[in-house]
Amino acid sequence: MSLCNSCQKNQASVHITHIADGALTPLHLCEECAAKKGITLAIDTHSGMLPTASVEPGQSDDALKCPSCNLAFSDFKTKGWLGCSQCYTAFEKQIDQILMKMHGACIHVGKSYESHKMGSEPALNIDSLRQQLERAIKEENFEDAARLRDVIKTMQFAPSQSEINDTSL
Amino acid sequence: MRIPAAIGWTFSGTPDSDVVLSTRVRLARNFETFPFPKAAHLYIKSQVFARIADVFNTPDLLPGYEVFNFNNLDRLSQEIFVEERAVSPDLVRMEGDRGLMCDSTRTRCIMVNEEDHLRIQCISSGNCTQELFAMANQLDTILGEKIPFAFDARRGFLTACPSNVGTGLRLSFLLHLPALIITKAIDKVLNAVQQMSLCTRGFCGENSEIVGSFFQISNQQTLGQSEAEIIEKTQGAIAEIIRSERTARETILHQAKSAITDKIARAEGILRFAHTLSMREYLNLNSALRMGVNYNIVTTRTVEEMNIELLHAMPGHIQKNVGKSLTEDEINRERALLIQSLFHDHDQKIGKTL
Repeated sequence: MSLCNSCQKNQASVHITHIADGALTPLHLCEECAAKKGITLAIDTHSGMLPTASVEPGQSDDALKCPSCNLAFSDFKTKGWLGCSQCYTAFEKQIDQILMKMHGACIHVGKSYESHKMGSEPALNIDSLRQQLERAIKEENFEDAARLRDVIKTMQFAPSQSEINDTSL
Repeated sequence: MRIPAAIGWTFSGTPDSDVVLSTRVRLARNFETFPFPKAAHLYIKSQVFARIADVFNTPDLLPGYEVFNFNNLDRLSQEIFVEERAVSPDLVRMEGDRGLMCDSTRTRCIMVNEEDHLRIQCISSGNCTQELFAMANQLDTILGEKIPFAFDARRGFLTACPSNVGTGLRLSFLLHLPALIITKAIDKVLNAVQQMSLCTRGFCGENSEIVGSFFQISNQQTLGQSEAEIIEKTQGAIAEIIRSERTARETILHQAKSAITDKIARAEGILRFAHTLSMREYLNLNSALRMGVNYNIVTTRTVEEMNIELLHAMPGHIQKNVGKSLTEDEINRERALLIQSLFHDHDQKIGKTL
């Protein structure tokens, strides 16, 4: 996260593009300096910055976790990206609010798709990985087995932190 | 020296190429069963990459594609793909198995394991949105039959960032708007663009500054509208910008012909004789010369040649051409030499001596 361009002290949480004389200048401000400049929170959907002000900041939301990938809702708010497709169900209420702000809609009306036609694969969770690990050991494929053990370890002990490529926005 | 024209977005003969350098249509897609790339362990990313590579290696399914795994690719080759606009700079910065499946002209580029598992991108010069969408849509249908995509009837195609969910469709136009800058009408146009939920960026994409009057404009909303509606709305806005730029060019020609002719001639002079050219300076001069080409004042270049030159003046291409890694100062000198040699070749062709 960058520092506020104005006070150079607080973390910048408001990201806007200033247009003047044909030049686009990105401005990163803390909420305090943004308020002083009379700037209301903008949504920069391209950079993935979320309209956090629109989401209830309560403890209960932050503590929510996706049962499939273990991403916490608080992580999503800081990073700006979800962990897996199941996150959309896990954070359904919160995401609906975000989608309304971003797109002015929360219902898809475009191209349709049916993945079940091809026979869906089992979801990737610890149990399925354990089965893959057992199979790899049985087949003496130790390279894959070592990798799978790493993945399982990651998912068990530090699911949303250690192996995530943190590209803070 | 002769530079081969191989990259699709440099080609000429496409509509509105006096203002629109290139159009890109992108569809974001993900596997339903794997975590999204930024949350995925490297092993999972390798599984995703292998699955997609398998589809492209299926005989006769998608002929003419090459598969590049950036995990086994040197940094310079990765940079070349960024400059060709086949992949994003973010892809280079990421870890693990990730990369690109593309055709030889980089018109169809499928980026793998960037923010989403798949980014199906079709790029060409000029304003060809409908054709590019048809191309991307066809690829999407073929890939969707082999890869189980994350899709839910209510939210559409699910993406790592909710800003892409629904259609996953992003249209990006690289526009050259020098006359709107000169006539100071650009602020009004860009403000109108923002009001229409379109986003403006610089030549090099996200977080890049505006140089050489080049602007990237793209739609922000991907949900709640059909693909056809998104295309129609965005195309309408782009058509309006094109009209404004052309009107501004006419105004300048009528009201300030000598000033603009002088500006273009000076740009040509610097390009011909400079011994060092930074990328920033080059982009500004390319912009002025491009204006001269549009006005038929400059006859030493065509739009296509300007596009090819622009690509080959980028740092990665210069280093590839020289065959070694260079410092920024060395790159700037090589860039000046390259441009000089292009003018020299043209002069020789027409028998001109200075």
